[in-house]
Amino acid sequence: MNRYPPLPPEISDKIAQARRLEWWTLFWLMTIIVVMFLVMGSSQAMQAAWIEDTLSLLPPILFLVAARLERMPPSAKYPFGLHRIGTLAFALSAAALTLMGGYLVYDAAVTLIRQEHPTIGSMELFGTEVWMGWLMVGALVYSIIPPVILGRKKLAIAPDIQDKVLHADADMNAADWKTGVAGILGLIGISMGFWWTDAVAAGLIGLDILKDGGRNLRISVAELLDGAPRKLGSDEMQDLARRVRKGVDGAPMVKLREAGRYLHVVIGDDESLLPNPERAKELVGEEDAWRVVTLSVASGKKPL
Amino acid sequence: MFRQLLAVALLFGLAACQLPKDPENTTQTVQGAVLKVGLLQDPLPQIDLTAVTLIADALNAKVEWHRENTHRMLDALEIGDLHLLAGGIPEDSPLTDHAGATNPIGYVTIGADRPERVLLLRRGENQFLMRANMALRPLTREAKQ
Repeated sequence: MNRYPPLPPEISDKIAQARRLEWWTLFWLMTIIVVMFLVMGSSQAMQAAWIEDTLSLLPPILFLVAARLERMPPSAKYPFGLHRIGTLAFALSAAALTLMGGYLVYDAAVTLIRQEHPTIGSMELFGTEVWMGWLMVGALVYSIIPPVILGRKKLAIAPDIQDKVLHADADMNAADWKTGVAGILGLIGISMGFWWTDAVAAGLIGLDILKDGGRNLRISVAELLDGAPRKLGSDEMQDLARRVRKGVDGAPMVKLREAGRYLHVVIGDDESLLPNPERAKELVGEEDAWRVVTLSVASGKKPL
Repeated sequence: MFRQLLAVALLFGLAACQLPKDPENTTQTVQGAVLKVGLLQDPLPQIDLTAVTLIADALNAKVEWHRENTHRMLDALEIGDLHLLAGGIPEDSPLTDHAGATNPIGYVTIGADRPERVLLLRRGENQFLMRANMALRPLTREAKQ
């Protein structure tokens, strides 16, 4: 059994709802990936869009894995349980988003510098010659609809369950539909004889996604480094420490850190956690004593 | 927003007969004038000759043959001094990094491989490519069978 207090039913329900949303996301993304693959041909712009769609599978998968494992009971290998898996999933999702933005900007810059004119062929379809560009526009229109709907639903749930992975995934969905729109505009530009429109549109959207990715990475680094809890989707601190202090007499020192959606709170001067060097030597032996930096002894009594 | 996007897409779909355009106007340059073709094989295999003739006829153009160093011809294609390269070119040729390729006009036998055979044209000239593909349809159909 896990060691955490049970979740309130409305939170469990919302987490279950988020899981269903992520399964739907995986389903729709797969269909998009197949449709895009069928029309992408040798078009570099479409190949880039396809790679991004594949990359955007990562946050939903990470969410589902984290949501399944985060309340696993402690084991010998993981004595504290897997409660920080949300932190890891968020860091990887933020990295995926940043990678996607970076890739788009890089790809656009290379195309513009080399002045690569995108070549898009045609195929015979029901007796008429159809420019593949129009088929790509069709696929892109299809590819922007599910992310818009799913992303909005995720943004509505994420604050209630304080889920940064879900929030980052909503950012990823936003990135997906924005790249889709950029791709459509780019193809329309190409059809009118402006070879650079695709790269410029993709590059601008890439910068926007890079900004989102960078913001998520900063929040994720704060969480990895046991920083004070940040607001969802921003680098600002949450006002939790003050709230805790209000509830305790004598304005003690309050420290909070977060692991995924959960909070760890330490009240009081934590100098008492510093180990006595002699005691540390007794406990872990001479050679490893220097590695012990905090020592807390659980009282075994009922919680406060 | 989607409805507007869809409307825009449809509008462009309707205009599709005129689009795509060539950024460098290859179709307009060749139409009713001269189609400059670089030869990678001399004499040109019959199937490549048929393909070039189909395109020239469709654009009502006279063919002008060029035979030079391959790299020089590729350079010429990249700046529009040549309009086509022909002569046993497989679709996976490294030359396709520098040029656009038509739909298949047949096959090339290279050792045990039998990749599709294509013609090369200047990158990004999408209208020219579409007109060429249209003219090459009989050969593409045969190749695909």
